[in-house]
Amino acid sequence: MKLSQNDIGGEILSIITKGMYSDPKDALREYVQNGVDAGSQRIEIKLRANILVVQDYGVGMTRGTMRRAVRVGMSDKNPRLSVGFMGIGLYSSYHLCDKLTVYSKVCEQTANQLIFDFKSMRLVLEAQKNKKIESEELNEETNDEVPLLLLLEDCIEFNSLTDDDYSIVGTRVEMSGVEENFFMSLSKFEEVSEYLEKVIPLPFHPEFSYGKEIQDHINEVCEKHGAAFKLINLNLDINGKKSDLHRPYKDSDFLPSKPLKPNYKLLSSDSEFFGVAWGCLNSNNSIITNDKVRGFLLRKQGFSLGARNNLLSIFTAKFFNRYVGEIIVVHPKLLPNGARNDFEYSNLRNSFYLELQNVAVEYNEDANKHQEKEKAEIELNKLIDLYRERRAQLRFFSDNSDKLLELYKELTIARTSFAKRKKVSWKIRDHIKAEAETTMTLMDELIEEVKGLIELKKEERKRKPATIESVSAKLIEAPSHKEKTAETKIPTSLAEVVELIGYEYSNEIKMIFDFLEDRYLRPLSKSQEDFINQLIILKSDIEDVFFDEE
Amino acid sequence: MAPETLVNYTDHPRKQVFRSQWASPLIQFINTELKKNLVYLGLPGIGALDIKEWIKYLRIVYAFQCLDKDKTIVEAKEEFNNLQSELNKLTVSGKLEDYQLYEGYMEQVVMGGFDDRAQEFNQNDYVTIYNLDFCNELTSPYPVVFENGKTKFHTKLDVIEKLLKIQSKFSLSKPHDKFLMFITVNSKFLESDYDLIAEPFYKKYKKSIKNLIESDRMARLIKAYAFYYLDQIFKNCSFQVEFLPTMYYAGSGFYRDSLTNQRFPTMMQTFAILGTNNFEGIIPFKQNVEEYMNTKFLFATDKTLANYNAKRIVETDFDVDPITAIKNTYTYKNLWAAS
Repeated sequence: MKLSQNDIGGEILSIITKGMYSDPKDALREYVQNGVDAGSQRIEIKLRANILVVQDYGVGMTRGTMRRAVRVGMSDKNPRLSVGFMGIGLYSSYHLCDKLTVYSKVCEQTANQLIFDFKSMRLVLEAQKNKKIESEELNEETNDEVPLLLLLEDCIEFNSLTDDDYSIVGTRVEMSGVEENFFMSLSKFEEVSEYLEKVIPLPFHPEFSYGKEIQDHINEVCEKHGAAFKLINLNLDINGKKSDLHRPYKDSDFLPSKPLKPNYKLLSSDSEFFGVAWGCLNSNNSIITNDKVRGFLLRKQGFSLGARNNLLSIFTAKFFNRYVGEIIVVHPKLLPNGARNDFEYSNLRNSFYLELQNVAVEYNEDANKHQEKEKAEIELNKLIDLYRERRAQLRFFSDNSDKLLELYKELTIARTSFAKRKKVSWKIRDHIKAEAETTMTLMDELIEEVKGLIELKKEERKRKPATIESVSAKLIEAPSHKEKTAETKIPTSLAEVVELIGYEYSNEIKMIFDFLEDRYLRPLSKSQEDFINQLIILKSDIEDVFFDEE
Repeated sequence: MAPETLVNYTDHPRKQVFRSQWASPLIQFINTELKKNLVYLGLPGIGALDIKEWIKYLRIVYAFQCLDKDKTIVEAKEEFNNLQSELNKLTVSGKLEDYQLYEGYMEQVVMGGFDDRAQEFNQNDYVTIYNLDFCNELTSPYPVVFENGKTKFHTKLDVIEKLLKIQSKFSLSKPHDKFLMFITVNSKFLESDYDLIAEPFYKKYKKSIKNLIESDRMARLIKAYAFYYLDQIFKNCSFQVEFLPTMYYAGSGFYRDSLTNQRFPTMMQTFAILGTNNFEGIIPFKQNVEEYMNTKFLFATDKTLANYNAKRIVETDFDVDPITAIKNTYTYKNLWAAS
């Protein structure tokens, strides 16, 4: 079948760009990506009144490359080496601005300029659409639709420049007449920087202790597997408010003051190397509150694909939100999809996700181990406190049978519960294993002693009360309460229990939790302290149920 | 594309005389003095003519739209876009390192902190050349809208004070910081504002010029008024101040006298002020107001500069060469040359 230029209408440009670039800031990512592909180490983004500029200092485009850059859906780039390869990125600002001007210069050559008159293109297509709407004939076949080729020919200008016009080696992309609808979003420094910090392969923030270590590790692994991973220094300047941008993670996102050491995993199957993952777990046994950084972000050669929450279902919420991490994919055949929120469908993609699931399980297990160790220490502390307190008090009520029975019950429950949990799930850290054993032994002794006293009372035999010296001697034997570095957040409401486990909920759900709490939970509690204890037990039980399921 | 009128826009000849024969040599001088290209802040007007004229001495430009109430929104927008296009062109070609451009009245941008497109006013550099070409009245108040929705009236003097306060933040650790400020206003003026000045010299001076023709009298009143307030503002912001002879010329606009209905050209004045950071060890300098007021105006004709000879008053002649003028100042001889 023979086709003509009339078979591809100009409207295709609008359709494709609208579909691919839903956020106006996506155009910035596209132009930065071009700069990275051109080998630029530094890129500047500037907004001046209503002109938005992306300047890179890469190799620049020759006259021929620039000529070919106007093509739609055709690219000189090799997907193995470049992040962009679809041949549409230059048009990403089609809906964003009235005019796109591209200046580019290659070393020892004069510069060239491309001008895309997007406003005229839009007006032509708009007029064509209006004409159709106003047409009286239904389904009338018309031949007056503007073909893509003509539209581009009429609205694109190519100029040769001198060094007086433009002399910097690299490429300058200038979007002038930024549309009012997008201007507010693009002129807010915080909004633009947050977007760029998420999507661009930026260096780590200086306030993140493990940044250098992680970057070195990524570089080392990538180098070992011959994979490319480029970082870019990006400066954002919105009408004079300017800053070098970094990946957004900081120590202050973690409790109490910094994360645990990063945990690395290789993403590879028997035959394929996909990339490397890093994850830093919150030191505290709770979720990371800053939802802009928590969880794992998928990156292809440094550029992010989709939102952080996209991977939540692979990890499960309980542990996902306790990590800050990234999945760095460098496999040359795993290609991002058009919307840049995932990879293109392929068998390789399936293999990658299978591997990612394995890695997610490992991260979940690591988090669980850490959590169980944390829990074990908390419970051990409780047991030590109980022992010391009751040991000290015993002399005051050694004659009181009721008190002794109460004490016996309390100590037995605490001791049994600790022993059971220790056996089933808690992984007590090596350095406190001995203390746990000592505490258990002392508890056994104390229980025996109380039991003896009860027996004595039963036989109505008199027994000399314990002296302060003997109490003191016993207390010296007992381990001390360990000062914890990490604070553990105690829930104060049913809603907080769910939040601390790692689930987000809406205000409506919170109202339901509050209702359940008032109606069913609080009436069962004797006091506020008892209520809090119930919440702690509930949180622990829910976590156990979930973990067992996993 | 901007219409032909904007692309080929040229200023009236007196303005060009000011720009090329008075301001240019001064700017070149300060550029040489500082041994670096200058940071400009001002209202470059349609076509950025002053920036283009001085471009080889400039590095960074902070530009404000030059608005007046007679322009339609479309005209103002067109002028703004044209100005941005010029500034952008200079940046692309590498003649200018960077620029900022703000839309709306300068009072709004500087005092309110954001422009008509809600862009925050950010000044990141020490300004070495101000060209505050206000063109209208020095004392006319403008309603500035603040982010919290409140409105307050501010004058151009408030703007200058705010700019100098910002400037002083950059100059705390740099004793050599110096700058040149041009302020252009028209000679329309509310005499009642002058009468608020209580200092005896100013009362006496007003009496001494009462027999001058009205336009000459008003010109001198505004000159004295500007000296009185600007001297204070500079000092409040920790800057030494010295005025060069004030330029006086007929602007391009006209006004009708309300009594006679006669048509007169709008007379303009341009103050050229040397500012120096009050660095430690500096000997405070107070320019003699009497001497300044008794110096003739520098008058710009269509082709050249000259001393302005007014009738019914005897004033002192001076050398109209700008370099001689600057070299004769106390500031140059004792502060700039010394640092």
